[in-house]
Amino acid sequence: MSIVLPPSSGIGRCYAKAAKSIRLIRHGCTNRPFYHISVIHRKRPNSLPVIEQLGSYDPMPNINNEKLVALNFERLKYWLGKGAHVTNPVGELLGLAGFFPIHPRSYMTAWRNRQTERENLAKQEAENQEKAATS
Amino acid sequence: MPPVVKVQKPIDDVLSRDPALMSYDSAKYLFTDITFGVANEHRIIVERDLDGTLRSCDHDVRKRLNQVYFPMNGRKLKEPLMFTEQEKFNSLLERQKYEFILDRACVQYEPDEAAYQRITSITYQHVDLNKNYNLLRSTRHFGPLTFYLIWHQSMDGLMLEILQSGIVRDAVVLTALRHAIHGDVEEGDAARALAEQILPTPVQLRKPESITELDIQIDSKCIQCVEKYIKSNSAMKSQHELALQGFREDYQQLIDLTRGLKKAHGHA
Repeated sequence: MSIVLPPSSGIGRCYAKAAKSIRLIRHGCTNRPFYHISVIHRKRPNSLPVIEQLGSYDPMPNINNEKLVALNFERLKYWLGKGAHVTNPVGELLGLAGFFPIHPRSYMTAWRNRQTERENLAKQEAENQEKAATS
Repeated sequence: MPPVVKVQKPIDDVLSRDPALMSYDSAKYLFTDITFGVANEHRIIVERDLDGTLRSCDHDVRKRLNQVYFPMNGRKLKEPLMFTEQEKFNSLLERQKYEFILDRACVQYEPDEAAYQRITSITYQHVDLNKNYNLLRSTRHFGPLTFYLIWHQSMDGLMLEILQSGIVRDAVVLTALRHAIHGDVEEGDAARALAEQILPTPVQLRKPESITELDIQIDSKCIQCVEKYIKSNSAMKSQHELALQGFREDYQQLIDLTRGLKKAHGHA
């Protein structure tokens, strides 16, 4: 009897010359995202079986305020060596992990977040001053 | 046998600092290498902190993530209440569930964790205080117990128990171990040589019922060795001497019996 693998474990057919892509594939349910980091043909939709799963990413922080990412670096290196394309979200994760250089989009997000924080702070201060002036 | 090792040192290994990533996210990112065939202690586990620092995770986080991705049977992500709540732990000790405590500690903790060493040392002290050595004898925890007692120079209770149960060979092995660890036993080298002679012989758990001439030879050497130990190092001299005297009388009777039997069978 052969073992029946779930589609995420990589039962998709692999065409040697077709372009591959390493991307996040959503596996959670409604309002609860959970991603697999998988290799799949670049022109295939995410709903099809993947060639290989390389890891997982849980974007919802756990009770210790941590987001967990698992990566099979050995297989990742193999697929990168085969010339697989890495999508932006995966590139960002790999940058944060110290495997790639930090993705430019990560810097942009960080910078924007800091800017919003500053603006919010300024707004709050202005409100406080107004309150103080009226009372 | 669970190994007795030093307490682990905290991991404080900053891989890179990147202040430009500050406030990228409100949560930490933990990255685990799940490459096939890497042992848990060698697995790469890093975290990206809120201020953009990339560092290796400390032992508690490593243990948790290893348990998340490669679960170990019986180990819990949250520490069991019997270890965290003093009341429950004490109740177990009072009910003398030493083996249960130690077995569970073996599964739940790594041997170089501070919590493991704290729990085991409390348990060993309780065993030593209440003279319950027999509850741990013939389990995998007896070796670490003996090592702990000798390491902390409190092996006299165990020695007394061994002498009272009349297994003088174990007493010599204990003396030899003390000499190997502390080197403070007079004529300890003789004890070690004797211990090497004893170790290949079958383990004794109670008083022997029949003995050979070779046994008599070894045991008389053992008695001499233990006598020397009692004179030079023992902290409970009178009790030890009394126990040894009792053993000696018993043993003389046994020798007489076996020799008489042999004579009666016409072998002598």
